[in-house]
Amino acid sequence: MSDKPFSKIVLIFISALDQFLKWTALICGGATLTFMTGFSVWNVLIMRKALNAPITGAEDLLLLALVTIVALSIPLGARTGAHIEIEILESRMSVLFAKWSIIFIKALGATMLGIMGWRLWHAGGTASKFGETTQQLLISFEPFYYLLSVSTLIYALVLVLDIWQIIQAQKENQLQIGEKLL
Amino acid sequence: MISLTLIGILGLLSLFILLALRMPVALSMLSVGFVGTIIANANKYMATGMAEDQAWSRGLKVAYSNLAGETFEAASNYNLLVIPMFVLMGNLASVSGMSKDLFTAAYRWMGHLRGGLASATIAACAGFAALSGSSLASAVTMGRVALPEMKKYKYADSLATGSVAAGGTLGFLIPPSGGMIIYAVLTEQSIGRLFMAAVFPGIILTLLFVAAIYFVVIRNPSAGPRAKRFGRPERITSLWRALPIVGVVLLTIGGMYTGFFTPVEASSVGAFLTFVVAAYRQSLGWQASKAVILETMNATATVFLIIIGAFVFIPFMSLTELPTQLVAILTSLPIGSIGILLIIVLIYMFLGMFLESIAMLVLTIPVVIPIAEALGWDLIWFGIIVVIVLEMGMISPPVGINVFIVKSIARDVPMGTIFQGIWPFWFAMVAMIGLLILFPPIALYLPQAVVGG
Repeated sequence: MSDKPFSKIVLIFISALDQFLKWTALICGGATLTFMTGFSVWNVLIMRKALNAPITGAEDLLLLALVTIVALSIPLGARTGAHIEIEILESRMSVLFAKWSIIFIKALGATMLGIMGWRLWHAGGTASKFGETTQQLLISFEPFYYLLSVSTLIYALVLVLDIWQIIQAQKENQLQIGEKLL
Repeated sequence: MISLTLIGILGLLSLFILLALRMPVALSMLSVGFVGTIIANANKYMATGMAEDQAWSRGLKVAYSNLAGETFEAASNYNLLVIPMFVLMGNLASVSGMSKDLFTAAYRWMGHLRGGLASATIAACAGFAALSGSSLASAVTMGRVALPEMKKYKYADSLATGSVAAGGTLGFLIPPSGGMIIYAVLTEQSIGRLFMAAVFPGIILTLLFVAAIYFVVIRNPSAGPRAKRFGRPERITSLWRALPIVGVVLLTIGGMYTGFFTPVEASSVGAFLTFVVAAYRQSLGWQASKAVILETMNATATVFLIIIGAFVFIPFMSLTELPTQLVAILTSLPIGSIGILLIIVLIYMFLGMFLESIAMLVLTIPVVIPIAEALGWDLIWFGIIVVIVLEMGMISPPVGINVFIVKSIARDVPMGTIFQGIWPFWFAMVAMIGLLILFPPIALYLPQAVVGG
């Protein structure tokens, strides 16, 4: 990699982004998963089956927890390489073609995600106006649209950083999530 | 103006080009779905006599609305709550050593038979599949415990690695299967019914795998020598250790089949019970907990983004009427319903050589399901066939993902040897598909008997 100050700043930024995504996933993701499991079991086994008094709006809360976990997962997956690619033809490409085609593809992907993030943000702004709420507790979807929008925009940013890394060092370094189970 | 069918064909072509250029499957579907929706809608409006600029503007509006709407719909689909929950359950089972207990139990009961260790691997994979729903997780966890044992008893490398790679694929069929959940959501079928339909095929396929091992060792006895015979107390002890797994599976999956739990409830209860077992065994240290959370979120990211892509792409495909045209072409062929099914299966087998299973599933559903519906096939039965063909792709050369996983564990075994070892299991899967075509009740009996309809 280049020793220029700008390069150093970008590398520090990537490293900070990795830490942010990892710890957000661990703290917020862990809390959401714990909530989903615990709350669902409490509602099903204790409230519904044992006491015959299901919690009103339990499904609403679980559904919003699902949106949250999806929003938290997508940018993490972008950095860990979780999004499935088909690499069968890569070995048959020349180095130059492989490099510039992946830059083109990542730029296209970032543009698409940028549009998606923008539209999700826009949809969030109109969610209350159109009565987009959960069914029982009538919680507005607005903040969850924003959450998905930010998640998508971070993914777009990751792709832009990937392009920078490819131009600088021919390859992108992915976030390793440590002690892998798989 | 161009015809909608041509737009559909160009859309598919663009999709394949983007995939070949290594764009992630989800982003490829999103991009083609979004751009395709603009073009197809604009053409539709122009066909009604609308001015060109107005038609394009309306097309863009529809595509914008679809993009945000479908994304949110996929991310907030209550039925998909089962994905993070079952993934969490599988990851907790992995760290708690449940997979090792399963293998030990199967080993102590079957290991002394010829090829018994390989059969024990298959049995343990089937058991673990009932907890994890992931073929990769099954292959990795079983590979780590079973391959060293088989090496110790001088099993042929091909049989040892082949049994792990093939056994791992059972995770895609035996409920709770991630692939089946995606199929259910995209085809609007009941997850519970699909899970029930997979029970007998899962058991039969496990037995067919064991039969394949038997066939290999009959032909070449040195490929699977007998291992140590364990006494009754040791066997009983191993069963006792494996009891928590049986308990979790019976309570969650059994609860779902008896109607006590919905699939979503079963997944949460399963994750909770597995957590209790892992905590009781003190296997949830900081590193393990971190790995469980991050791997669960990683898998959630993989599956959800691809579902979001499919949610945007599928309406575009429907808009182009390409699937309808394909149905018309296929049904006009003088080969009958079975002939068409065989063509579809062959196409899946071919694609399985190059594409990842979940990617192949979401990419083909928009085209294949209208054909299945037009021919009056039961989509639950068809789903089971599709899932088995996708499993074949996981062990088919040149890119069978499970083979690569096994290779990463058995580094000294050449790739060719592993592929050589998977063929008996590949043919067992072909036999399973044949059985399902000949006897659909193998899949349909249980859901009809339990749920009816």
